Amino acid sequence: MGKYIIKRLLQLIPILLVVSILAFGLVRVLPGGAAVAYLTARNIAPTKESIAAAEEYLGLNQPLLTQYFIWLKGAAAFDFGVSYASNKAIAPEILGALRNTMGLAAAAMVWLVLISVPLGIFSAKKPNSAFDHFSRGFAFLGASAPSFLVGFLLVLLFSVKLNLLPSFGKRNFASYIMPSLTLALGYIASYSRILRNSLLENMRSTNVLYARARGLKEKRVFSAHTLRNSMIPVVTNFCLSVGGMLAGSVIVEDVFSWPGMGRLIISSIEARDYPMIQAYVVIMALLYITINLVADILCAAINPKIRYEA
Amino acid sequence: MKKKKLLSLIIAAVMLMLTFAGCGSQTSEQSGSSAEAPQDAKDDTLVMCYADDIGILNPHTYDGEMFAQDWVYEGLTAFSDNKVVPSLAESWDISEDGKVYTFHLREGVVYSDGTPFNAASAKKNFDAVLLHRDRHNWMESLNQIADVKAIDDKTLQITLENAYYPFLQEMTFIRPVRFCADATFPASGDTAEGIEKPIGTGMWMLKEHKDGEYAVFERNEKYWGKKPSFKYLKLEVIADATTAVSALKTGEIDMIFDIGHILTADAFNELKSAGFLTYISGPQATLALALNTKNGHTSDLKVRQALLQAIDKDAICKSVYDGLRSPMDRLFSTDLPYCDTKLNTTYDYNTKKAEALLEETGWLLDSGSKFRSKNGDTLSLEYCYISTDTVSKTLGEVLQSMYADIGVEIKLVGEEPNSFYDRQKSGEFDIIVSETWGNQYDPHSMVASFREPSHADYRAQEGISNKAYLDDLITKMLVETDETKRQEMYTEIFNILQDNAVYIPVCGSTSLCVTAKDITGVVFNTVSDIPTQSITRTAG
Repeated sequence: MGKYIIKRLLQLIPILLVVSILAFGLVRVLPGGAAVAYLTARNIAPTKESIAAAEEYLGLNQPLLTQYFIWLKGAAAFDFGVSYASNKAIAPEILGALRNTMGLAAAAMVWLVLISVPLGIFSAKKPNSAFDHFSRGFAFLGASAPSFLVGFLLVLLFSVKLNLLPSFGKRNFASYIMPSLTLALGYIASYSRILRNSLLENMRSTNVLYARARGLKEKRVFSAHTLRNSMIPVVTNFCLSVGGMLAGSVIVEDVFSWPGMGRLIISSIEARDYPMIQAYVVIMALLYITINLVADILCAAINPKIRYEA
Repeated sequence: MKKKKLLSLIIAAVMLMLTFAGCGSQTSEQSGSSAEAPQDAKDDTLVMCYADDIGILNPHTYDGEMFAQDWVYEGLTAFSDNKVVPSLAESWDISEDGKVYTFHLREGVVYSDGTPFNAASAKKNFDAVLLHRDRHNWMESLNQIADVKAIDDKTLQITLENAYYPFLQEMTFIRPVRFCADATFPASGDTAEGIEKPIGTGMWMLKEHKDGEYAVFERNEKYWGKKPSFKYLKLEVIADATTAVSALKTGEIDMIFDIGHILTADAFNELKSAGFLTYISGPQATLALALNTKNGHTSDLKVRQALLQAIDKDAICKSVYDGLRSPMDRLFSTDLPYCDTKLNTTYDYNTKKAEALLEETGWLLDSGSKFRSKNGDTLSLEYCYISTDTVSKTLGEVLQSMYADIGVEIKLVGEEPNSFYDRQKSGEFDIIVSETWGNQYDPHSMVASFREPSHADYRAQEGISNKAYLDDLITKMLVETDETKRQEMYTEIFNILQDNAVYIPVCGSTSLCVTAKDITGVVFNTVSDIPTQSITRTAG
């Protein structure tokens, strides 16, 4: 196991190198140059002279390869340079946004576990019961309702009408409730269904039959055999969505004015903030790879049949 | 086997925890900062919102939000009611040849940290700005400065290369010529590298700033002029207009001063009927459509004249802007300096005349076809706008139906901002949405920019026969010292544009403001500032 993890970690290096080249190259083929976007964002009329001046102090007049290596050297030491848009150091800015998004994602995970696990279990225990139908309806609704609509409806009810929760921002614990629920809703819908189906499948499996034949209590059969095996697809999917959640949800962040990764990246793309976009891509790649690794380890822990060899 | 399993579980747990490590520290920092937030009664704080963070408040660069820079820093002159008025300079003398400006600085002005504002400090600021002339070359005044001298403690003398007449007006601009205290300068003295802390002479001081979330300003008790009535001004970052409306309804914010133009007419009217106080500014700029005079079907003057006459601006103001804007029939409002002139040509709404013009040029409507054609070519024009700008899109749709009535097809080309700017630069458009720069810059800054090839205006005008003459005229006008002659030159410039039907002025751009019922004293000034001096909260 240890060897396997080390091998996976070593694989990070070539992957990140390729990602860095892609990120660096792709931002530069976007229509509209960084210098013009830089000037326009500052209400400076772009003229030939002002564009040349901007390119000079942004360092865009140097050969591409030089630019890449200067950036790579900094990035290796976690110094991603200065944002074109805000003129602030990128690492703290992106980490601040990442932290806010992580906070939101963590809160969404709580909703996810609190709601989707019971929904899945109860639906599976009595398939095609009224509760199962309700949970199916809920899943359809949750998966198809756009998050800006859900978000604004929640705000309308809990902030404007009832005045219970803050309508925007990240001020206190209560601020987390609505945005995280909005973010979680789509995931809850699919997880409860995945869990239900996986449970139903496992209930029919032979090891459950043998467990019953051995005279084990129904509770033990469920927790030790059925539920455990059913968690594998859920955990895999769950870890994949952690990546998605950390990438930031532009819509949820916009609706609740949440200063997270989604808003940061959208505004950075619009501002052609090359160093910020590059840093975002590299950091997200790093996170995705880490989370996938965690998912693999978790699955191995749950199911002894899965073994990773170095 | 068991041991291995346990080990892998622990590794996974630790990695997950590392991933979420940030969350815990997040909460503690938050409670820490809220403890620092002003604890005064709500009455003492005015809460507003803006779609973006205020950014770095450096007076000499362009990274922050202009209105916030304007709250903290002041210029030699200020812009009020479309006029240049004294600010840090109480008065000034201009030499006969128009090249030497002697500013008499206001007595008793101090920066918010108590250090005096004097000629030496003013010169230090000028020097810092002029260190990077190339970054400010859009502002002709700075290109023209030959010398800045502190004559005595309260007299500052600026010598120009040429008698550049808009100098005093450009000194009202929010950036880059505003003044900061010594404490703001970094050790190197070069503010372009960054600032220590934002200290100006303005009526507000930055007290607390949480990136991307909010900023709190505190009243500058040392301010030389009329101080604002609120002790604190809190600016929440709210990106979405619907969120801002909800926040106003819940009382979390006191007002939406919408210089970012995010509020829709629907939202504005809904708030109005819900009992909130609503304000509409006068026209602060002109929304116009620039026509390409060089390429495509619009290169024909008669086609352009037809387009100008087939547009029902009253209907547009009613349907697109819900009556919140008024039609404009010229590029620059007559309220602006040099703009109250008689134009030779006018284009009234008259579809009959428009159709006749198109017939004259050979664009004929075949029976059975919706659009005019000539030699197998359809009269089809591209209308270019930024796709996220829903109002421009609606305007395009209305134009589509208006121009269809005279047999002209309009294709909507909505793109992300940078592609749109590319079109402005390259001139790849038939009709492009455009706006004048705003009352502080109009007409002189915008007219000066007509000479720039990288601008939509230059591209639009490129096809008119006397473009070279027009550019030359502008250059001469900017350094003309005789007031009457300058006025004549402006009139000629405006007439060239009007006769050639380069622009379709649509309506005056207005700013909106909505406040809670207990907030009064809202006034508007320019497109880029938020005047807070007179805003008060009424009791009860």
